[in-house]
Amino acid sequence: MLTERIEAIRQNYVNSKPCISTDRARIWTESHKKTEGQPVCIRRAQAFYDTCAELGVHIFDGELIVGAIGEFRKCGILTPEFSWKWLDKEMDTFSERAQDPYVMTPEQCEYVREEIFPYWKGQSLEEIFLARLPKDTAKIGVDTGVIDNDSKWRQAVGEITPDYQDVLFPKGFGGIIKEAEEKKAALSYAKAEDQEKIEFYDSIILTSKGIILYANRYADEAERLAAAEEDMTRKAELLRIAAVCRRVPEYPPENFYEAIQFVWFTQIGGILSENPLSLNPGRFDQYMDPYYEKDLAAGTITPDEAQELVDALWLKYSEWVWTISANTADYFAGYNQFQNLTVGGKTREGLDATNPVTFMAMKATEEVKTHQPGLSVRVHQDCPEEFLSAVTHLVSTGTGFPAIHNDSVGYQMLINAGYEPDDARDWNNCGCVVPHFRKTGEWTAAVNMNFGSAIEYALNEGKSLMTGETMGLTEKPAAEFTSYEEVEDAFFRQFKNLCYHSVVLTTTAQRVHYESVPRPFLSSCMEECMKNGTDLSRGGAKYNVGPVITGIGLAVTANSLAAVKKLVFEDHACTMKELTDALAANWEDYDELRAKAQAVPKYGNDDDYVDRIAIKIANFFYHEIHSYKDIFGSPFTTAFMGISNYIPMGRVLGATPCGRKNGEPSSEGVSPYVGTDTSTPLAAMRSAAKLNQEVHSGGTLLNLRLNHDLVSTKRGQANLGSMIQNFFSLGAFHVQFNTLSSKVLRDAQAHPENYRDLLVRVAGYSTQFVNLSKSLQDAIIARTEHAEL
Amino acid sequence: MRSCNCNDGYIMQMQNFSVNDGDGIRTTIFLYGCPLHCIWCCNPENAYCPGMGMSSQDSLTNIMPEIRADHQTEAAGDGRGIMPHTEAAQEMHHMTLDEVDKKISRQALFYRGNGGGITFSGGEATVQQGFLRAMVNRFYDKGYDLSLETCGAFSFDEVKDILQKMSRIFMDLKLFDDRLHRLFTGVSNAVILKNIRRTAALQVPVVVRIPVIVGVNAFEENIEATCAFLEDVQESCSAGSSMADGQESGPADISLEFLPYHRYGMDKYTKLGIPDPDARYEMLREQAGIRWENSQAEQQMESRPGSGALQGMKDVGSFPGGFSFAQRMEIPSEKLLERYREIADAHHIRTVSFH
Repeated sequence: MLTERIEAIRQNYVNSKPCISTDRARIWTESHKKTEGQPVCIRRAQAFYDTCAELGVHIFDGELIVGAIGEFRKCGILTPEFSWKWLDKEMDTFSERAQDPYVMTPEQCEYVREEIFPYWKGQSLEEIFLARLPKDTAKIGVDTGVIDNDSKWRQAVGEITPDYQDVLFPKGFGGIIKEAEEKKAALSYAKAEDQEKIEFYDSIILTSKGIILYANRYADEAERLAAAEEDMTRKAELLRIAAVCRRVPEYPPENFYEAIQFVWFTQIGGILSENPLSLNPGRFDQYMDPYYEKDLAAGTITPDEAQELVDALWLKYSEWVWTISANTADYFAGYNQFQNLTVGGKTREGLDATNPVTFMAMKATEEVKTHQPGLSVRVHQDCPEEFLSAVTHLVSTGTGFPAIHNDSVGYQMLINAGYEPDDARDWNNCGCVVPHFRKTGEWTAAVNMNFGSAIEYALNEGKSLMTGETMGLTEKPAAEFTSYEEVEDAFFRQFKNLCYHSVVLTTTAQRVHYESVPRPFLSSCMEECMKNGTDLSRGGAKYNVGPVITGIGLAVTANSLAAVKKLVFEDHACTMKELTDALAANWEDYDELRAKAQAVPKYGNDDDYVDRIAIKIANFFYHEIHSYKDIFGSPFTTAFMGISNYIPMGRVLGATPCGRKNGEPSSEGVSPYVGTDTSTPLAAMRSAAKLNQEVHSGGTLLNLRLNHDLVSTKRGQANLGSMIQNFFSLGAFHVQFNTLSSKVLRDAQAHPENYRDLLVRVAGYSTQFVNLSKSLQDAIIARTEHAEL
Repeated sequence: MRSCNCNDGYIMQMQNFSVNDGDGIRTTIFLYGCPLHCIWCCNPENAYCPGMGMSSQDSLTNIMPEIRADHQTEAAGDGRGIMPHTEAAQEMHHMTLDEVDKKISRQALFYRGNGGGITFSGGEATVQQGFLRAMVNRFYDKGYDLSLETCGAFSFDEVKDILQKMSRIFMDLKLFDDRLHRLFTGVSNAVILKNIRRTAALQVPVVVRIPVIVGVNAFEENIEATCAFLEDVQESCSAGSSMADGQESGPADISLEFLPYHRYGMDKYTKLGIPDPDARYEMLREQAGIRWENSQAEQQMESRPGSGALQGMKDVGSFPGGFSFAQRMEIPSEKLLERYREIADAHHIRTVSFH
């Protein structure tokens, strides 16, 4: 049960529209005007300090955990140093856009246009990056939907897990300042190589002082409010808040409350410094549990009080809104900042890691129902039954959480990326489904690459089907292909070219980040950066793992090659020319051929005919990408992630041989193309597990849909638990379940083509919803509605 | 004792990821053919069709002579639905043991850790006794958990070896009163009752299932009589005295599951071009009504010996006290099921739910 306080905050979170605050951009810009000519890391650090010193202090009604990034409770900020052009173009219509709208007033727009943007003209990351990018790469890689990395030059990188275990909690920012000063004392301005390090430590001292000042300003405000407060309970709460903010994050936390507030201040620091994607809380249960157990033993906290603090933190995570372009929002839909919080799994020593805070985190997600943090669980084969039950119970609540990960495959992915075993065992998730570790610098979502484009260019002389523009390598007319092998070769040639441009986009961006995007606040959360005096953006972390190229459309591509193989070269159902004519016509007037194409075996049904092709593409992708190295000499990494990138990437993709039409969504992660896994979820799992998932160290994703009925009983949840374990025993990394409401079932009834895989329990068995008669569908909808009451 | 083996047979469907026919995640194998003609049947395509291409050894080998007699009358044209062969045949797949095995082997991984396995169902699985035996032996040797769903109308001695390999047997007992049983299913329940007794004595856990249908069997006398019967079976098994035929006996594991009636198979009737359960129920109701009114005269009329279900209407004048036709067959309320569970409790019969 949520407390009244948490419920009130939750109601506000659910019912209010996010607003944009321009305060951070204003202070940031004014500060930069005063530091011109200084090293860029000092300029950024000074701007951070000034922001901490000047930003309005806001303690909202009933809050126990404090710290706001602007004047609004549900708030986004602007970071013009990265990009202002998209803002200039889009902000007037922020509130009307389809995906992730924000409130920004005409006065705010006028202000930033007059006072903020002019200063950054020619200076922003976006402008520098675009000026540097080779023209041929720009043509295929800037706002095309073919290869996309705009989140790496219109936004900050983010993708960091602050190290609470070894840095933040043991030292506090006070300790970090002390360490920086000691390090600095051992360096000499007379040595050229030391100068950069001295500047680095200076930047660390500035940002650390900044966040301490920010916390103390909250202590001041809490004391002021307490003095005026007549309600004695709230007065006491405010005084407690003041005392907590006086201590953290300057000093190591001494109790659970301080530790939670510390975590939120660190998050605030990350947000104010760069408005990051994927600033991951990491293994929350591991670093919080010692404080909880200690307080509990001392009798200074009750389980309910601790739960309320966790709930409060969850709402804080969710009230921050990631301000992004409409294009980025297409790829990362749902105001999702990807603050990934991981619980469960094994300890560094290899013991089961679950503890009371593990369960508290899952309870918070169930009860507060916030979209943040992104809750991930690590499940190992010998995990406690009560943990697996809690996981499947959470699935049954229909939130889509948690993301369920295979403990040992996460470990193996990090081993393959070069981690030491103890560190690999200590993994957490980054962003979506990337196995990560807190001492890592890695661009975990560097590029999205549209696999479908390679098919399109191979079959269409290198041209886009929908625009006619030459985007790929020139190719002979498809009618001249005389064997399937020739088609496949042409596909891989185009595919390699996409890999090449993905790498160029990334290394170009990396170089610009190296030169002009220092990250002092986040570097201070990293042990090795502090040791070496090197910023994160310059490879200061213990592990610099190669950037992750995410493949989009594996299922569409495998299905399409299978269709060419079977229809043209095996069944002779059509000629190559007829097939490409059908694609050019978007399948109009080719109903019969399209039906044949749709009947060709599809990935996701445990059918080797097509699964073999999927494996071949995935392996090729790995080898090709892995052969390139980034600016730190680390080999590039592959992933099959989801997010929402399969929608925009599908939008630019013409009709494909698998039967898909112009602009329809592509496929996500290692999931089957929507509606084509018509067997059982078990068959989809088998297909996905055939891919060598552990080599794709950037993570693999499988989303499945289940009718709520299947998991509504304890018995159903137990079955789901063993299903997950059995799937994982095949070497798969991730699975996530959407349970379905009657609303979805109604949509499935109206649009069966989109729901061919939708599994529902009928009577004593489960089957595809769309295969049922209308009357039976109605019966099941009625039942589902009943179950929802 | 016969114990034929047959390496191929007819399967309606292999339903993977089945979660309500026993423990865990299961594959339910629906075998073709059924000796009963329950008017509410949700799989009407399963009903036995004289002349269908059954595998040669198996054609109705295991149907009791008295039930066969009922069928013969039916086939004589009394109006109860006999399938048009071609439509039903579309739903029927000829499969070999190896083909079934190959499909099962892709699913076996998912039985692990949840008590899952294979459930044989139908139709009536024992109709294709030889094929069933071949599958049971193969999968028993592979260590899979096996369950059987049966209507109880089988020749016990012939399938005893199959029953003994099951970890759970679901047996339907649709109506306790034999006249009503004949009326609604087309056959007598004498052999079913006998088989419940004998199967329970095998010490395989037996779940007796009552598909609870308002207007058919949802009246207290029926539930009461069924529970009293099961209590007696339980007691006589414990006393070791149940079997007159010298069969071994011991404490029985009997439980009862009430399955609320559902109407999910209705559209199949349209597809098969035969009167649906509602129409058939209405037909029975009307005829019973007429006969009820004329029961005195009716009793004086000469009845045809060996008549089938509808001809059995001559008996409806003496329906058991609790029975009356409803407007149509209805889904029971949760309250009603709760009441029935209380009746079972009073008879010390454990109720279970696999749903």
